[in-house]
Order: sequence, then structure tokens, then C-alpha cells
Amino acid sequence: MLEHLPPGSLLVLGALVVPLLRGVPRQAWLLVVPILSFAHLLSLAHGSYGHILLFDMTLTVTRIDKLSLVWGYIFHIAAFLSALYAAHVKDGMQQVAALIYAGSAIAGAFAGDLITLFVCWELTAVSSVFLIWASRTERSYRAGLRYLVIQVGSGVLLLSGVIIHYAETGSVAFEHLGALSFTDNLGPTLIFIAFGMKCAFPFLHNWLQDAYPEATATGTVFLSAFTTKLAVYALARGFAGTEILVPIGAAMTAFPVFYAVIENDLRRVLAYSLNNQLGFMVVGIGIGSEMALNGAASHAFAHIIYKALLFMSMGAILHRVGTVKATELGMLYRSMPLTTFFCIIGALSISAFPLFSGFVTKSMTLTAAAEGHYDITFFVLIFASAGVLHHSGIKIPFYGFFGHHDSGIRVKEAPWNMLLAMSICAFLCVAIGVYPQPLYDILPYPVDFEPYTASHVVTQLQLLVFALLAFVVLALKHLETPELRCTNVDFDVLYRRLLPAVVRGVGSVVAAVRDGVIDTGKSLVGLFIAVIHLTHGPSGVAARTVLTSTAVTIVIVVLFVHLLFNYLTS
Amino acid sequence: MADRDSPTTTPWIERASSVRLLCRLLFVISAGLFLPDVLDLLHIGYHKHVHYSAERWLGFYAVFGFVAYSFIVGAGWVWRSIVMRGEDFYSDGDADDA
Repeated sequence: MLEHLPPGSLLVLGALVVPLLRGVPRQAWLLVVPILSFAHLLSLAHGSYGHILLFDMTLTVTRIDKLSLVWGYIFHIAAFLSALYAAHVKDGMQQVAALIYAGSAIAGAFAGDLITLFVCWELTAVSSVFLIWASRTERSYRAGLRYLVIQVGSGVLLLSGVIIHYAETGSVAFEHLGALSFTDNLGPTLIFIAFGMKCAFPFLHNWLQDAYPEATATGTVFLSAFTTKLAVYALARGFAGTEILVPIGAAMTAFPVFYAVIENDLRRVLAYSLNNQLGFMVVGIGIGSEMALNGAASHAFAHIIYKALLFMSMGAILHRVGTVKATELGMLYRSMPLTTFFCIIGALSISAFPLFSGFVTKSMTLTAAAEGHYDITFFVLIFASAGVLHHSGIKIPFYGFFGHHDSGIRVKEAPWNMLLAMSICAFLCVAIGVYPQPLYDILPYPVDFEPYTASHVVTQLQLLVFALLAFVVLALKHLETPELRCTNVDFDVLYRRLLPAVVRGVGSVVAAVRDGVIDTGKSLVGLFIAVIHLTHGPSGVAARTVLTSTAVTIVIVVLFVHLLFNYLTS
Repeated sequence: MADRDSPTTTPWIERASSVRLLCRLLFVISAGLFLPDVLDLLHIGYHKHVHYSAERWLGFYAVFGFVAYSFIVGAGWVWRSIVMRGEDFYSDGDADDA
């Protein structure tokens, strides 16, 4: 029977059981369900399952191959580690939402058709917003609404594209969707934009930096793993080798760096960093060679772990201190030494230091870019690598746990479950970095790449160590950008300030016109009433009462005139 | 400040002497990382695998890393002057709940 269930469905079904449980059984259930779901996935062989005839369309609910399995594995690992990290949480709403969210993302990664993908796509959107609203603040409520509008909007675009694609081709199979064109291939183009919204393409990205930092400490860890990486998978499946993805990805790696450097909220710094990391994957998908796609897939795998680790460390601070604003923190390492250590492991991994996971995955994309002669892109990626060191390698651990001054904050170390989750993530970061072969073995294509050549190691160390040197020199000269309490305006100002202002402006014009029309109408009605009053009022001609003798006189005059007229004309 | 520099009360990592030591260590490592490029130029024991001729320049990645980082920080100052607004710019609820 289980083979008829798509991967991830056990997580969704498991979520329905959560409200029936209390206390330790519920906490245990939240950890057991991802394991059961993973075992279910392992029990399924490669191939397509769950063929359903819906109207005239043949749906393939489950398609298991090497590409989808990479995401299937890492999504399950992320679901388990995130659940472990959140094991102290008593909020049933978050627990149910998290399981449905993880399950639908996994099911989406194994969707063999676009309709199934759409259903999973929307389910991830609707379930994940509860992780934002679970903060139960006005800010999180509003951020969640904006997030939901954009995510559901992405789904609507996806469905529109699927309908057009089906009308043109008669197929809803989720395969490579072909070239982009608004005139000749509108369906896939709309689908591409839908994927791009969820993947946080430039100008479509701000939902990420807006919403993720407003979620709960544990919710952000879940969020960091699934939504955007499902979009990366969808791009890899549907648009591998699409050239436009290369400049889009390159832009994604570069522009968030300039926001991350000045952002005060460290979870928002990580959100910009996440955007930057997605760029590397998008570039790999755009290049489309076997090595590039392997690079994108392996980077997604490693990234989910080290990004979760970094969000976990910031979440631990938020849990204990109540804020992750750099201006409020300082010398927390004294109180939270283990969290500090794990955060540094995550920072080394995302910075791609040799022996850490980022090094063995990101370098694959860089090599693919160079071998594909994407010259400008290659140097943009190198530049972005220095940027990663700045905002995630240095800024996050430095301002999170050290800083320039002692904040005086003394708290307890993170709860045991958070520490355990972080320690497993940290272990995986190092394990993948030291021995990447098991990861390489599960990649979609055979790996013909050796990360630990002397040249790779030396050039990467030169880049990173000298960037670190620049940090030290600038810090000694007091030229580092100071942390300030502020809001940095990004593209979302268009729909958070400009659009409402335009709507208000248009509204005031409409109101003025409406008032003008009403006033003019009132004036005309008033004038009409005045005229009527003049003629029919108490002293009006029409309303005036006359004597009978006067009336008789008028009649006689009229008769006389009539008589005279007839006499003269006869 | 004297209290902060006291070896008995200040953790090792926060002492000025420790910071100086770490900085010097970083300078030494940085200088040492030039050595492989020198060996590559002299064709002694190390061959840098490159895709672009610029990569073969002495210390290309080192200079690139240093300049790129400095540029990012410098650009941050400029960018902040353009995009920074007050903390309650969007005025959507409590500002300190992050």
C-alpha cells in the first residue's frame, strides 16, 4: 500500500495526527515521522508511480530519478534536523504547519506532472505562512500576508502557464519545458516566471528578506530549507541550460552582498545570503552542463545544511536573548560557547573554506562556468565568494557572538535539542567537506571533478584569507561599516510604500472628482428648486391665486381676441 | 578598560595582546600564501591550473580577495547613504520584535 503513496505524503498525513497527541509522545512523533517518510522513500525504486487520469490529462504523481532523489534526501534530512531543533516548541500550529510544509515540498520534488507540482507548490505556500504568523506580532502578520500574496501569486502564474502549455502540447508532463518566448511559448514562459518568483530572482526577491526574519526562531529554519530549493529543483528539471538563467544567477550572487553588508538584523543578513547562494545554483542550472548541474544539485544539498545551521545559531540567540540585531549583541560567546562554535562551522562552510562542505560543491559550479567560457560570470562568482565571506563568514559570527563591545547580556546556552541539531549539521558540514564522495555518488550525473587539487585549495585560500585580511585592516582603521538600527529600502518599497501611495493618490483624485460631481449635482438641483420655487412657490406666478372676476376678465379678453382674429381673417 | 585588559578577568580572545597575536598570525599566513604563486612562476613544484591568463598573475586571487572585500565595504558606505531609512520607515507594527 505504501508504494502508492508519494514521498512526503507520510509527513502530511503525520501532521494530521499531531493534534491528537500531547507532551512527549507528540515530540517523539515529530521526530519519527521524517524518519518513517525517509524509509518510505528508500523503499521506492526508480520509476514513475501513481498515474491518474484527470479529465483528459494523465497525471504522474510520483517520478523517482537521480535528480529528484538529491532533493528528496536533503529535504528529509532538513525536515528531521529542523524538527529536532524545534523539539522544545509546544505550539501545535507550528508543528502541523511544519510537517505539511516539509511533506508538500518533498512531494513537489517528486511530482511527475505540472498539476501535481502546482498542488504541492500552493500547499507549501499556504502551510509555510503559518510559521511566519506563529510569531504572533503585527509585523509578522503583515509580512505573512505579503508573503502569501506573492507565493500564491506564483502558483496562479504556474497554473496559467500549465493550462496554456497543455492547450498547446496536450501534455502536463514535468520535463524540460523548452525555450522561453512570450509570443511562441507563453506557457513555459509563465511557468519560468512562477519558478523565478519562488526562487527569489532579482526584483522578485523581497518576499524572502521581508518574511523569513519575521518567522519564529524555529520556523525560519524550516523556511530556509524548502521553498527556494523546491524552486531550484523545478528550474533544474524544467529549464536546465536556459541561457538567461546565467546572468540572472550572477546578479543574484552579487546584489544581495551590498544589502547584507549594511543590514542590522542578522536573520535578514542570512536571508540576503540565502539569495546570494541561490544565485550560484541558478548559474549552474543556466550553464546546463553535467558538471554545472551536478554543481547546482550538490550546492543545494550542502547549502540547505549550512544555511540551516546558521539560521539555527541565530535562532538560538533569538530564543535566549529576544533579538538578533547586531547593535544589541556583543560577547555572547561567553554565554553560548557551543552555539558560537557551531555558527563558526556554518560560517566556514558557506564561505567555502577547504575541508568544509561549501568548498567541494561551489567549486564545481565555478569550474563549470570557467570551462563553459562564461568569463564575466566566472569573475562575478569569485567576487560574490568574497562577499559571502563578508556577510556570512565574518559578519554573522562576529556580530552575533563577539562584536566590538560587551552588551552585558548573559544568558543560558541554547536548549539541548537545539545544540544537538546544530551539532549534527556541523558534523555534516565537515563530513561532506572532508569526504565528499558519498554526496558525489548521489548526484544526477557521474562526477568527473576533483575538488582537492593543490590549485583549487591554494587559490581559494588566497581569496578567502586575503579577504579576511582586508576585514582586519579595515577594522583596525575603523573603516568597517558600523551596525546601525535602521531599515534599508529594497525593491519592496515599490509595493510597501510607493504602490500604496499611488493608490492613495489615485483614490484622492477619484474622491475629488466624486465630490466635484456631487457638488455640481447639488448646485444644479438647488438651481432647479429655486426656479421651481420662483414659479411655483408661494409667490410664484403658477402658484398665485386669482379672483374669479379676474379669471372671467381673462376669458373675455381671450374670447374677444379670438373673435377679432376670426373677423379679420374671414 | 584596564579591567578588560586584565589577564585574570578578561578571556583570552578579548585581550588586546591576543588580538595582536592573531593579527600577526594572519599577516604571516597571508604572506605565506604568496609562496605558491612564486613557485608557479618559477615552475618549481607547484602548477596553478588556470582558465584565464589573469589568474596566472602573481597573487591574483589574493589581490582579488582583498580588493573585492574592500570594495564591498566601501560600496556599503555609499549604498547605505542611499537606501538607509529610519527603523520605523514602514511603520507596520512593533519595531523590536525581530
